[in-house]
Amino acid sequence: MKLVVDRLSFGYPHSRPLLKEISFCAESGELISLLGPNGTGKTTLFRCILGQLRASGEMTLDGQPLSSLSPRQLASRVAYIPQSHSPAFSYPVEEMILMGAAAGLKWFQHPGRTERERLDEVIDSLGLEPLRQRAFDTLSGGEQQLVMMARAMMTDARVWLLDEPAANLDYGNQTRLLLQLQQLAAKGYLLIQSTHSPQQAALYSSRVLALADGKLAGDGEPAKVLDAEMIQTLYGLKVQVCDIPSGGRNVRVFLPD
Amino acid sequence: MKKTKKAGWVLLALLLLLIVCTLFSFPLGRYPVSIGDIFRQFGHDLLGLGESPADSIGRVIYNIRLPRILLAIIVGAGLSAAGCAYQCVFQNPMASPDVLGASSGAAFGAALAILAGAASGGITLSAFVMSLGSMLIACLIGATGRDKIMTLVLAGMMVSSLFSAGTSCLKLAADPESQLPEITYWLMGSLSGANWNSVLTALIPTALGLAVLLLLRWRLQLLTIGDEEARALGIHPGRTRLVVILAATLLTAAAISSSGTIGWVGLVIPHMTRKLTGSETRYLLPGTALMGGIFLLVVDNVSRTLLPVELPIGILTAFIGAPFFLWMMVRRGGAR
Repeated sequence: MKLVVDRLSFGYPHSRPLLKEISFCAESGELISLLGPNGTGKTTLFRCILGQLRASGEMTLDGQPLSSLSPRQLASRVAYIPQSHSPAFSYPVEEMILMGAAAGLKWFQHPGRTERERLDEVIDSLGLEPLRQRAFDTLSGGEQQLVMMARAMMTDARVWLLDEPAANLDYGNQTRLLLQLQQLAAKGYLLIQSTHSPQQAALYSSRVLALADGKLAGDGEPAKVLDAEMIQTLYGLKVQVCDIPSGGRNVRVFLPD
Repeated sequence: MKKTKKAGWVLLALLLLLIVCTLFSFPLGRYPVSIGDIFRQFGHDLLGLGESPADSIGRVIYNIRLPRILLAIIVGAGLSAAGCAYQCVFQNPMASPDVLGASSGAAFGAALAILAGAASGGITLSAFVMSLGSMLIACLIGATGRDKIMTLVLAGMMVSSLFSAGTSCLKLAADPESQLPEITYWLMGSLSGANWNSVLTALIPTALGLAVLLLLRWRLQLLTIGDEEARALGIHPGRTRLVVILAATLLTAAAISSSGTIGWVGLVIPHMTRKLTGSETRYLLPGTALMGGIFLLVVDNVSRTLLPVELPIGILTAFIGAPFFLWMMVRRGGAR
């Protein structure tokens, strides 16, 4: 899977442009962190890729323009994992996950045996069996996030856009989630997560996309992109950058001045 | 799997309860008909067994009791299923069949027809057309906003109050001796006008609307998680919503036009059912329809037997529905 975004620009009508000429190319196996200050258009970028907002510029997946795909085709290629929130009504976990099968079903079709078998696989692979019958809104934030990931897995999409998946999670759940994402990337998924933590981006992702003022301010390995200057550009904050050797690699730490 | 099995049993139990309620509704009323008479009558007519009871009993069963029982079930099932669908579509547990102004549209249509001196068929038709019309206006306005659901609900409220004002105007113009009481009585809602004609005119659109909702019920569930997510899962939330709203409004219009404005059923019944089957629309929607049929049948039985004079059923549903809803909210700490 190869996602190419070429000179993507977007602005809401009657207001200044939000995203300006964003270009990048991403491939299976990458875990990309999308960094940027509040309101800089991280979620908007996701929504453009998902075709929910009409942006100018070219986006292709394996050479195929995303705009030529129907919502159903797009859903089985690109999955969106929103920030965890409870729907208006409470559903059991397995029912939430099963909703990921929608793209493969016709108007009057209900999930059948094929979908249920796939559901069992997905539940197994994420270790969700104990939660299966629980009501979604009684789960902890971390568990909810896992269920959302299971739903994305159900769609068969190999490109995932995750909107701040680690926000609202405690340290333990954050770490478990990010390790899980690393494993999925190693299995050949292309994951793009938006995050507010450069620290996390440096620790877990293979690549960083930095958005500032609607433009791509940096693109590359975390160690190359995330320097003191970049933190200053993104967040207007002076930090010291330290590299601490650990287990054969350097771990980057940001210390506010 | 345990839970799904349980919901399946709940549906079966509701179906049995509906059948039992139907049987026990026949003997209720001024003319005495025993349960035995019912079995003898149907046994004779359907299976060719034994002898039929007296002609007069047959007439009461077929011309009076049966149409009324059927109409109560049809209207109850239709209103409840519509309420359930609206709640899912608007992702709002407080939505009910009158959110889009269908009720006040129907009321206006009925008042207009009564004022014009139309027969009961004309009143039904006019109420039906007006409730569809008010809903369409609300939908057209609702489609323009950025936050579609919010705009739709607000448009519904506006259209609703516009039609209510229209109805008030008509009441002013109505003849206080004959037309005004008829309009007022119609607005209170009643199944007393039930005959085979009204059963058929309610049955056809109700069956159509219910069929669409039942077929679409799994998709309906996807609408409850929000448009963006639903779209990202590969469905057209706008199109699905439009079809569901049309079907639900067809149900509402059919129910209201044949029985007047019967409130609360569409709001309370889906919640009661949710307690039994859970929120999964696969079970919730058929369960709601069954429960609605049972509820309105029982309430209608009360309304026609409690006092020597018939109580309009709309008053009773409000007396039962509103306190029940309050009790549920207080007990559960919210309408989840």
